[in-house]
Amino acid sequence: MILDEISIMRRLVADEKERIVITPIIDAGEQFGPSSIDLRLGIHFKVIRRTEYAGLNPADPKEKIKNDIIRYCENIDVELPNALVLHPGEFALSSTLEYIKLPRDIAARLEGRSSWGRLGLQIHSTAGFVDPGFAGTLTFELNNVGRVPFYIYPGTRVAQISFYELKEESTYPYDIKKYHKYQGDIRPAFSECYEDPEFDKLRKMINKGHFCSNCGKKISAEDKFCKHCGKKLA
Amino acid sequence: MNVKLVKLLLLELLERIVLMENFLDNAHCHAAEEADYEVIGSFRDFIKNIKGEIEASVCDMLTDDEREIHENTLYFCFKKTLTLSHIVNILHYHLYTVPSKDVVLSETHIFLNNFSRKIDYGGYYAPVEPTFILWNSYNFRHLKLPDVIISDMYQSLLLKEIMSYRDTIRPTTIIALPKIEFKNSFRWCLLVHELGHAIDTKFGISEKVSKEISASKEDMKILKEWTREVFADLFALKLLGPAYVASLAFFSSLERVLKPEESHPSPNTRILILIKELKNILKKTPEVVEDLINFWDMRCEYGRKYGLDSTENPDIKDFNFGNYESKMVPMVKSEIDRICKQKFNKDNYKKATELCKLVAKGIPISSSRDYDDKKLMKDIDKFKEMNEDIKVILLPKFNEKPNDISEIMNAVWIHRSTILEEFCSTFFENNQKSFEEKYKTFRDELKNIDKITLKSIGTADINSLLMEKGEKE
Repeated sequence: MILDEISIMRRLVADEKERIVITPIIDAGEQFGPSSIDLRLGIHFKVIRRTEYAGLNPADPKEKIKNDIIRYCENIDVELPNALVLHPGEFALSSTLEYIKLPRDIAARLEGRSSWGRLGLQIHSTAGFVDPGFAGTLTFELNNVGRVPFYIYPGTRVAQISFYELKEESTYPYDIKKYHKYQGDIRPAFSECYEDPEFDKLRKMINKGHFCSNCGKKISAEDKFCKHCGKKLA
Repeated sequence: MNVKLVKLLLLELLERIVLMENFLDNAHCHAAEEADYEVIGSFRDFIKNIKGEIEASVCDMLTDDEREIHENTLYFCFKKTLTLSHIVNILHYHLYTVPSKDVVLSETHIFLNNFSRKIDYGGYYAPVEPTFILWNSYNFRHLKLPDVIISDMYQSLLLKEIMSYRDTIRPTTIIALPKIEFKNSFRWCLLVHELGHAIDTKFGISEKVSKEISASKEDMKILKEWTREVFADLFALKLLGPAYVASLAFFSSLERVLKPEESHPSPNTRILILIKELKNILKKTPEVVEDLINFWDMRCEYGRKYGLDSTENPDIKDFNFGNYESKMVPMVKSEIDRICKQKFNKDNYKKATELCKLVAKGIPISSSRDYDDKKLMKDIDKFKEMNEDIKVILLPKFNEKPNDISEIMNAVWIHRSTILEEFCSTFFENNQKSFEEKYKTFRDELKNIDKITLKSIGTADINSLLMEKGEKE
C-alpha cells in the first residue's frame, strides 16, 4: 500500500521503530505531494574521466578496480550559487541533500520529477528502489538525455520519494543484509558491483594463475614485486 | 593511580591509531612505484606492532575488576600508554610521506567560513576566507604571494619589478590541517583557533594589547606570542563553546600538558583560562563539562606526579605569566566581544544537548524541527476531523530550522563523551570478544560519528541559504 500524505506525516513523527527519517525538510509546503515528498539535489557530484579510463571489468581484482576508481573518478563539490553543467549524453553521480532512514516495514521508490524529465534529465536509470532498513543519502544517476546542456543547482527539487508499507516487518532488512554496500553513505557512492559474491566465483574461473592485486596483470609465482606496476607482492 | 584515566588515555591512543589506519586504507599511489608501497607497508607494520603491544601488555591487564588492579600494574600501563603514544605521535608526524589523493573537503570550507561570517568586519575589511592545505599539523600562515613563489631557493629571480609590487598584493591566509585528520571533523574545532590567528593578524589585536601592557624588553617577545595564542583560544571558545576546550584537551599529549614554550603557553595554562571563561558563558556547569574539568585536573596531577613537567625550557625560565595574565585576558576578551557578532551562549548549549539525542540515533543534525513529535501526532489526528487547508495548518509545522555549526559540534562532542565513557567499560570487559573485534566496533562507531558530523556540516550552509531565500520571498 502506498502511503498518502497524512500517513507519511504520521511516520515522520512516529516512535523510533516505525519512524521514517527525512532531514532536512526545509519547506514542507513545497516538498509534500499527495503521496510523495520531493527531494533535493546535494552538493557532491562524481564524474568519471572517461578519456583516461580504459573500462571497468567487475571480474578484475578488487584492488585494481578500487585503485582505478580513485584514479579516474573526479569528485566535484558545488556550493550555491554555483551550478554543475550537465552536457547532453553526460553522466554524473550525485546524492540527495536529505538523509533518509527507513523502518523495517517500509520500502520506498525514488522517481524523477516530471518538470525535469521534460527537459531531458534522468535522475536514475535502474536503481529507484530503496529497501526497508536503509539509512543514508540516496544516489542519483544523473543523465542528460536531452539535446541542450543545462545547469544543475544544489538544493533544487529534482526527485520525489514515495513509500510502501510492507504487510509485515522485513526479517532481512538492508541494515542487516550481508552485502549492504551503500548503508550510511553520505556522498554519492560509486558502484561496488565488484563486491558481489558472484564475481568472486567468476574471478576464480577466469584467473587461473597469479595476478597482481594492484594492476591485475599476470605475474609469476616467484616475483617479489610486480614487473608491471611495481607493487610489493605478498 | 586512577584506572579511568589510564583507560581514557588508551582509548585516545586507539583513536589516533584508527585515524592512521583510515588514512592508510585510502592511501593511493598514482605512479604505483615500489618505494611508495614500501612506505605504506612499513607504516602498516608499525601500527600492527603497536596494536599488538596494546593488546598484550596493556589491555589484558585492565580487564580485571577495577578494584583488584594493583597500583604497580596501573603505573606500568600508564607508562606503557605514554611510550606508545609518543611513538604514535612520531608516526603521525611522518605520515605526510605517504602518497595519497586526499584533498581538503568542501565541508572544511563550509565549517570555517561559517565562523568567519560571524565576525563584524566593520565594512573596512574583506571577510577572511582562508586557503587550506593538508600538512602534518594545525598551523596558520599569513603570506604574501611573491614570498611564496620566490622562496630562498630562487633568490636570483627576485626581480626588482616584482618586489616593488610586493606590498600592493593582498596577503594570503593559509590554514593547515593534518593530512590524516582531513575527515576527522570533530578535531576541526582546532581550525577555529587558527582562524582566530587570521582575524588577529587582520585587526592587529594582540599587537595592540601587548603594547598596552608594560613589560620588560625580555618579556615582551614572549608576551606577544602568548597574547596571540590566548586571543585565538578565547576567540574559538567564544564562537564554539565547550567543544573547543574538549578538542584542545584531547589534542594535547600528556607529556606536554605542563610544558610551556616560547611560542605557546603550556596547554594547562591555556585550558585553565578557557575553563574559567567557559564557566562564565554557561553560568551553571553541566555534568559533561564537569567531567572534562575533572579529567583535565587528573591529567595534570599525574603529569606532575610522574615528573612530566621536569624539563625546564631555558628560553622562558624567567618569564612569569602571572604578572601579565590579569591584565591581558580581560583586554583580549573585550576585543573579541567587540568583533564577534554572534557568540556561543547557554541557549546554544541547551540546544546541543537536545541535538545530541538525534546524533545518538544516527541522524544528521544540520536542521531540526521546533515542534514536539507527540504534539504533532495529536495535531495530525485532530486535522482529520477539521476541514482546513493542510498547507496552512499542518505542513509548516514539519519545517526544520537550520542549526548553528557550534550547536552541531557541541552535540557531537557530548555524544562522543558518552560513547568514550561506554567504551571505557565495554572495551576492557573480560568477555568472549577478541581485541580485534572490540577495536573494529570502536572504529566503526568513530566512523559513524564522523559521517553524521560531516553530513550535518555539509548540509548546514545550504539549509540556511535556502531558508534565507524563502524568507526574502
